[in-house]
Amino acid sequence: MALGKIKADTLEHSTAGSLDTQYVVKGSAKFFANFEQDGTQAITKSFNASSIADAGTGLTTIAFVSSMGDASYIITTNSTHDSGSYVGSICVSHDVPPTASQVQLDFLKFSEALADAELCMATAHGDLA
Amino acid sequence: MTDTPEFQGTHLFDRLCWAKENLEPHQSDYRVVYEDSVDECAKILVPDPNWMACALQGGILPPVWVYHELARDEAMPTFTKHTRGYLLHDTEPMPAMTEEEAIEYLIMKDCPQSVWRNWDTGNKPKLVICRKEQLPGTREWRNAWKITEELSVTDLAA
Repeated sequence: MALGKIKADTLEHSTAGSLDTQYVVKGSAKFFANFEQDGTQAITKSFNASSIADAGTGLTTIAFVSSMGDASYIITTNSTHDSGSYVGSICVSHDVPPTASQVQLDFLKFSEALADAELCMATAHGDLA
Repeated sequence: MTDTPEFQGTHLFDRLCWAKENLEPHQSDYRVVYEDSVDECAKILVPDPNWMACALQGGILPPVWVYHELARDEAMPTFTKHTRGYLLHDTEPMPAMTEEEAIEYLIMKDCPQSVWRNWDTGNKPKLVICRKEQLPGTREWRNAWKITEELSVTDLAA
């Protein structure tokens, strides 16, 4: 591959100690997305996503390009507050459980009603396939 | 146009890092409307702009059959973790695609196989490719959206 490479197993600071680069590789997010559910669902910014599927009010399925190693990776999502309209959180669906290649995210208002939200964000950490 | 490095054998994640740095995201106007259950509303597939840039560029994405192999592995009752991830990284990447070819690839990657393998076997299509402007402008009654029964499986898209 015609790209510059630095190979190192350890990063060492002059005074603050050293860090195994495995921590960097394994600890980095493997996916992120900022997307909108209202209007026509759309991805604003992302990495390692191939598509989102609008599955109904408040429901979005995100597919990965570089699959995760298994389905037990970690998803972190945000809450959104639109003053006077709604406040709620994005939840990983239990009814449509994650697979190594995709995850369904449900936005629920704190009344537990599904809603279409703006400023939806998610990241995934874990091992890649 | 930026030349794609020789990526066969490079981890797919590293290729995506290169693409993120070197390619302009491409927002496609195409949408794929599909129904995978008679009890549920129609779903709408939206291509990711970075992924579309990779597809148009060529030399980055693996062939779609690789994803099917991994999906087959994951469907096995004995599955615990992927052991054939090398298929993503070592298989010769796809050449540059047109936007239409990329949408066909994406359908085969991200839509359920039960939808695209049998899209024309019912009274109406289970899957329709359209443009964003052809979708309803608001999300009113979103959970009741279905593919119209006026479409015939022998109709060609306008």
